[in-house]
Formats: sequence, C-alpha cells, structure tokens
Amino acid sequence: MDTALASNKKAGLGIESKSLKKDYVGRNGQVISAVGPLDYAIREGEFFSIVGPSGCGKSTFLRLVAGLIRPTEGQIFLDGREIIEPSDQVGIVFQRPVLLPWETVLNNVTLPLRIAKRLDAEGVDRARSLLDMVGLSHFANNYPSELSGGMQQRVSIARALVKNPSVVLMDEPFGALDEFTRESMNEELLRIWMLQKSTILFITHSISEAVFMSDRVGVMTSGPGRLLDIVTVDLPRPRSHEERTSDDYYNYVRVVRSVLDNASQAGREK
Amino acid sequence: MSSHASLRRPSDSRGALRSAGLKIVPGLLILALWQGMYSLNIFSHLVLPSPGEVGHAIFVGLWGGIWWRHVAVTLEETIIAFLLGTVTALLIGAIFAFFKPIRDAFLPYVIAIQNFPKIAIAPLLVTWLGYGLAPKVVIGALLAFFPVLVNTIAGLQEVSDDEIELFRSLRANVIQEFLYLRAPNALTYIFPAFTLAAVGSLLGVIVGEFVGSRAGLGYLILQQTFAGDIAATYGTLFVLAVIGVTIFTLLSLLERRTKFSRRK
Repeated sequence: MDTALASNKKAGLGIESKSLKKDYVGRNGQVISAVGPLDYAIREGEFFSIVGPSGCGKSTFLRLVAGLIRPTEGQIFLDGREIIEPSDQVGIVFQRPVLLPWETVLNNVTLPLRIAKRLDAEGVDRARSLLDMVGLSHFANNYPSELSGGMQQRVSIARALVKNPSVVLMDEPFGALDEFTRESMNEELLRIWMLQKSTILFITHSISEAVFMSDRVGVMTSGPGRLLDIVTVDLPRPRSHEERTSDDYYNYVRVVRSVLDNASQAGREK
Repeated sequence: MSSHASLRRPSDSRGALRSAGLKIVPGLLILALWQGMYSLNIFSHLVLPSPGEVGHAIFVGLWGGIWWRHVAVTLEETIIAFLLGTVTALLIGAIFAFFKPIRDAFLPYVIAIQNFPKIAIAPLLVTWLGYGLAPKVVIGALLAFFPVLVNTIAGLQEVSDDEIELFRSLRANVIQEFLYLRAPNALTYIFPAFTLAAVGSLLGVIVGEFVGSRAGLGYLILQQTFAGDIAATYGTLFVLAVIGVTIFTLLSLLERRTKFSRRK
C-alpha cells in the first residue's frame, strides 16, 4: 500500500479523470451531453490551463474536479482518491471574487478556516502573510467595496490558499479585468504559484493567457465538450513580462490557435 | 459610495463650514418667505401665524411643560409599535423565506394587505380596542411590519448562486450558511427597512391618536386646531418633525455603526 502511494507520488499523480462524462437533462426531457468522455492526467505541481470557447465544458470539468457536481459516467481522482464531494485539499477561485461585503478583507480570507472550525492565531497569521503575498497587507481591515476589481480577485486568491490546498482551481479568474490588469495579475499569480507549488487548474478563454501561464494547455471544443489536444509549453521559468513578446511564446500561441481553428473548420465541414 | 462619504465628510473644515452654511440657506429663505407672507397679509393670520408666534407657542408648550406628557405618550406608542411590527416581520419573514409552501399559501394575502391603505382601519380598531394604547400600537405596528417583512424575505433568499457554490465548496453546513451568509445578507436588506418602519409606526400612531385618544401629539394637534390655536398646531407639527428626524438619524447612525451597511 505504502509503496503504491509512493509510486503514485513519483509519477506525479495530481488530477486524473477516466472516461468522465456529464450529461444534463434538458427542458423537454432530452439528454444533453455537456462534456466528455474526458481523460485528463494533470500532474502534481503542474500549472495546467484549459482553453476553449464558451460551452466547451471547461467550467463543467472544473466543477467536477471541485466535487460540486457528480459525473454521469466515469471517475475522477485527486491524488489517487476518487472525488465525491468538495475537499479541503482544493481551493477555488471563481470568475467573480465572491467576497462577503460585510466582512473585512482579513475576515474574508479566514472564512474557510472559520467554516472548517479551525481558525486560530496561526490561521490569522497565515491569512496575513497571504495578504502580504498578494500585495494587500495594508488593506486587511478594509471592506471589499473599497477595493478595485483586481484587488478583490487577489483577496479571493488569498482565500483559496488559506487552507494550504494541494490543488487550486481557477475558473476564468481574470476574465472580468481589463487587459493590462489581467497581464499584471497573470504575472503575480505565477509568482505566487512559484512560492506555493500547488497544482493549478486554470480555466480561461484567452489563448495568450493560457500559454503565458502554463506548463501544459488542454484545448477543448464544444458540441459536445471534448478535449482536442494538449500542448506542452516549453518556455523557461520564471516567466517575466518580456516573455510576452518572445518568438517562442508566439509560436505556442499559434499552435494552440491552429488546434482550435482546425476543430471549428472540421465542425463547419461536417 | 465614495462621493457620499465626501459629501458627509468634507476634506477640510472650511469645506465643512461651507456645506453647513449651504444647508442653512433654504431654511432661512423659507422663514423669510413665511414672514413676508405674514407681513403682507396674503393669508389670514388665523390660518398662517408668524414664525415668531409659532416659536413662542413652542416655547410655552415645552417650557410650560404641557406638551411633554403628549410627547412621552406618542413616543411610547411609537417605540412599542416599532418593536412589535419589526419583530413580527422578522419572524414571519424568516418562516416565509425557509418554508416555501407557507410562503406560496400566504404571500398573496400579505401582498393584498400590503397594498391596502392600512390607516383606513383605524376607526375600526378604536371601536374594537378602545381609546388607550392598543389601537395606536396596532396601526403603527402594521405600518412598520410590511417594509421589514418584504426585505427580510428578500434578504434571506437573494443569495447568489456563486455565494452558495462558495459555501458548498467550503463544505459549510446549513447552520453555517445561515450564520455566515444568509443572516448577514438579510441584515443588509433589513437595516434600511428599519428606518421606513420607524417612520411608518410614527405615522400610524398619530393617525390612531386622531381617531380616538385622550393623549399624544395627534390628540394635542386636534385639540389645538379645534381651539383655533393655530400657532400651537404649527409648533406641535415642528416637534413631530424633530422627533421623526431624530428617529431616522439614530437608526442611520446605528446602521453605519454596524458592518451591515455594506452591500454588494
């Protein structure tokens, strides 16, 4: 048993899905296939992005990993254990910051600890150091409404990390931000990830964002949602702002785009 | 939010003085206009006394001590009506929010009563309950009840899917979801309703006093009008205005002292 676990660790087993399918029952009773079958193997400590158009099932996949919904068929594993409900090992950053407006920034960050009934002095210290890490240590006692959209999303990142999760799921976290803020948030997230070393599953509809951030990019398409290809981004780390203008970076952007374009062309010909 | 804050708290004392000065100007204009109309005999002095006469009436009423008894009665009735109306509304609102069958059954009736001019039942209530405190408290409580009820239901229910999903992902149980999400969210809706409820209960109490009573500011106004003491009527109305503004200010301050003035 021990050896099996150890070998799993060595193999870098993070998130794994096997023939994962999710169907919805539509208004007229017909079964609509939302996504799948999906076979993902996301390695431990990896920065993995999923890019694709709306309706490709990328958010559905994230919610399956989060344990917020159950698959219709197939299985999904976290560190070799099947996911059947939300886990303490997983932190989530949603599209919107979803902060409680009546709580201070610090209390928003410690909320997961309070709900888990293990808020202590150590937890508060951890929340403070996370706020420091996202550059908001001076705003601990402010209320969310006093913060900009980008700052609010940084608070929600700190909240997602407060339980020290092994996996962080991010569902288009910077989609609502303007391009300049988004780019600086990208760079900041990479810096935080280098410090935390957790597995990140990052959902986005921006090809350039996916390439800049990731070790690998899963490219998905819609109708029904399925995985087209996985592009390995072999750019050096740490990646700085200058990387955004490098030829290598643009080549990877082109590769991901061509996978998507080929799929939509094939769809039209069908 | 920020523009409000800067209106309330001007950055320098000169600005504060200027904004205070600006607020006094309309009041002075009204007083001047009033005095002008009085001096020019535009209206009969029986209908429109001079500002000085009204000031004198207030002084006599308060300094002489005759009015205080009525102020106390009206305040007592208003406070009881407010508490009765809001507490009932909070309880029933919570029941409606959490038990859908009950809500579905009763809400149409509640809406029907809400749109009914409730002060119209004042004479009936006086016939039932007599000339004492009870009918005033009931009308006042009725007027306080509805704004709080509606906002309690809305505040407990209008929690976004995102927030529910966040709490599910944190594995919060039903009680935690209530304590950390639904109840505080409801309070951000309920606090503004408290000011409406307070104004409503004062209004209901005064109407109740008009219809039948032996004390209270509503009773006092009727007596003064019947006696032709119009200056005293104006003075009593001014006292009522001060009471209304004071209640409103106290509740606003209370709201701002809590963290529940912060909405999305």
